[in-house]
Amino acid sequence: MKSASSRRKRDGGFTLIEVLISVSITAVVLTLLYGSFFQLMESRDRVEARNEAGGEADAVLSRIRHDLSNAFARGRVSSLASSSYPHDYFVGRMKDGNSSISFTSFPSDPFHRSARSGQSEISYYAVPVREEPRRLFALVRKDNYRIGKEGAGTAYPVSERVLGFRVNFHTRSSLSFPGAEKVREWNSSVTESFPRAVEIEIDFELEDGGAETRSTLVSIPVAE
Amino acid sequence: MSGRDAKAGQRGIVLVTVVIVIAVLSAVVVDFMYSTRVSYEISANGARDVQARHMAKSGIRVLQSVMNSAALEEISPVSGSLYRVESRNGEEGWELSIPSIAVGDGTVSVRIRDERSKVNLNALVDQKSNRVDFQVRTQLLELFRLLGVAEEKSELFVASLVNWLDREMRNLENDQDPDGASAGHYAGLEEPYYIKDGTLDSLEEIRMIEGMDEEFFLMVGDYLTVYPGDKKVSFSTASKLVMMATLKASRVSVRERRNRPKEIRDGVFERMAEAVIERRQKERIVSLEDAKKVLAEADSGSSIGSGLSGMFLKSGESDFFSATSVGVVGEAGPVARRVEAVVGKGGEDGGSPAAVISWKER
Repeated sequence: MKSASSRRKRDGGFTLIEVLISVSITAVVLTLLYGSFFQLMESRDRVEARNEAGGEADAVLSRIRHDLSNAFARGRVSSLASSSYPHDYFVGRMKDGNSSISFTSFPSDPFHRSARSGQSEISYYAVPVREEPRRLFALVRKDNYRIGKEGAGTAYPVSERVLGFRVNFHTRSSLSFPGAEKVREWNSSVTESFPRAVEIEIDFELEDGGAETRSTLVSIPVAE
Repeated sequence: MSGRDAKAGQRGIVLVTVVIVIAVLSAVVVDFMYSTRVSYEISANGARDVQARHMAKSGIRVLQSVMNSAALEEISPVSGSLYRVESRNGEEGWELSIPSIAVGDGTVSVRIRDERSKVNLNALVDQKSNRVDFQVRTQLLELFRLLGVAEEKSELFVASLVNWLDREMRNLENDQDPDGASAGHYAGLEEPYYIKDGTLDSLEEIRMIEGMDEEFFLMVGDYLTVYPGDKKVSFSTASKLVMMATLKASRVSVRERRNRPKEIRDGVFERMAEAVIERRQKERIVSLEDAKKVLAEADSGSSIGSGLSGMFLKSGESDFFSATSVGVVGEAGPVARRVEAVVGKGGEDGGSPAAVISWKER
């Protein structure tokens, strides 16, 4: 008899107190988990968005870097070139806080007609896409294999969340003296040379409304 | 409700809860692992890319540093523990290659050719007087003929090239060859572009010129250049066909179009070119007299043109070299980057370093 009743007691349900205690502990634990779980997910999303923006910035900067590395001085490459040939192979300007650059390059874009001669006039410039709440630009890359022909070439935006695009030009001496004043304009028909290196600065708008500035320094091999 | 039913219900809740929690947690963990792995691969790939690019660049830097201290075309093959240098100099001309230098966890390989072993397209028209150099014109037409290009195709291209190169200047005749395409032709294309009226900046630029098509370009591209400062061809590095074309061209006058070369069979020039190739395997060709002696031995009939002195470059004088440097990093899923560059020798004193004339990163 005794053994039967104790077995029933062991097999029996929990007391109310036990259930209440376990339910409240579970509730506390779940609340904590729930909060931190969603916090974790949120911060992960934020990091991913930033990574994505960073990835886009990297792609844009690497595209510009590639074009600049392959730059060549049009009409000046051959040792037989005449000195009276026009020299506007590298032009950089600044207007309303944004830069624009234009230069001749071997861009190696297999999807473009420039693949025929390998030569193109490459330009980068900012085009406004939104005024409010703050000015936003598209950074446009133009590839024109019909060099010098106005209105020709294929243009497409490489990024549509640019807040600012600035380019500084470095000569050998400005690279040795980092404190030197920044050169914002360049015209190869005046200097008869390439800048030794080009510093690109782009402000990107982030999805959460923040901004991030990315920059890179590209050396131009044929200017060395 | 009996006690047994209630008990079963309680067990069910725990089981279901545990299963849900485990499922949610595994989904989160799997997702996390996946995205971590993807970001890792992206970064690793980016790092390999940068590394491969810098390794390819270093190949060109090595060429630059060696160029001023040594005549590349005179470097003999070496075999060392770190790398080996191979060179060949047969009928296809001279080439120096370093098949593989181990650097860190990657390799660099470099292949160098002499731009002086090719026919210089820019020498066809003098940029000051706008005059056509008929030696270069003959050299080009002969080279294309030896390579098997149809005569009318090469005639059209060479005439169009004259118009492409000659310049628009007061008192100078522009677009002077009536047989070639002029500015109007390019302006009338569906996608019009300007005629250059100046020197070529890269070999591929000739694909913009009327008469040059894909097939033609593939046949002749390896034998042409645009970089040197005159029409001189190095007999120490040129291929058999380039030497044959040059020898024939040396028999015509620079100025006179009608002065056609006296018909001499290709066999004579072939024998002469072969004699030069045989000679340079053993020793350097150090002077024009040196070369003339070899040529005369191959053909006693003295078919050597008096114009050869203006077209001949001796060993050690090559001043423009093109190099292809490839950097490869990583064993599984290797990343390769290539740099194609043309480097020109520095000043006479060797004080200024070799300059990069053209640079293409791929």
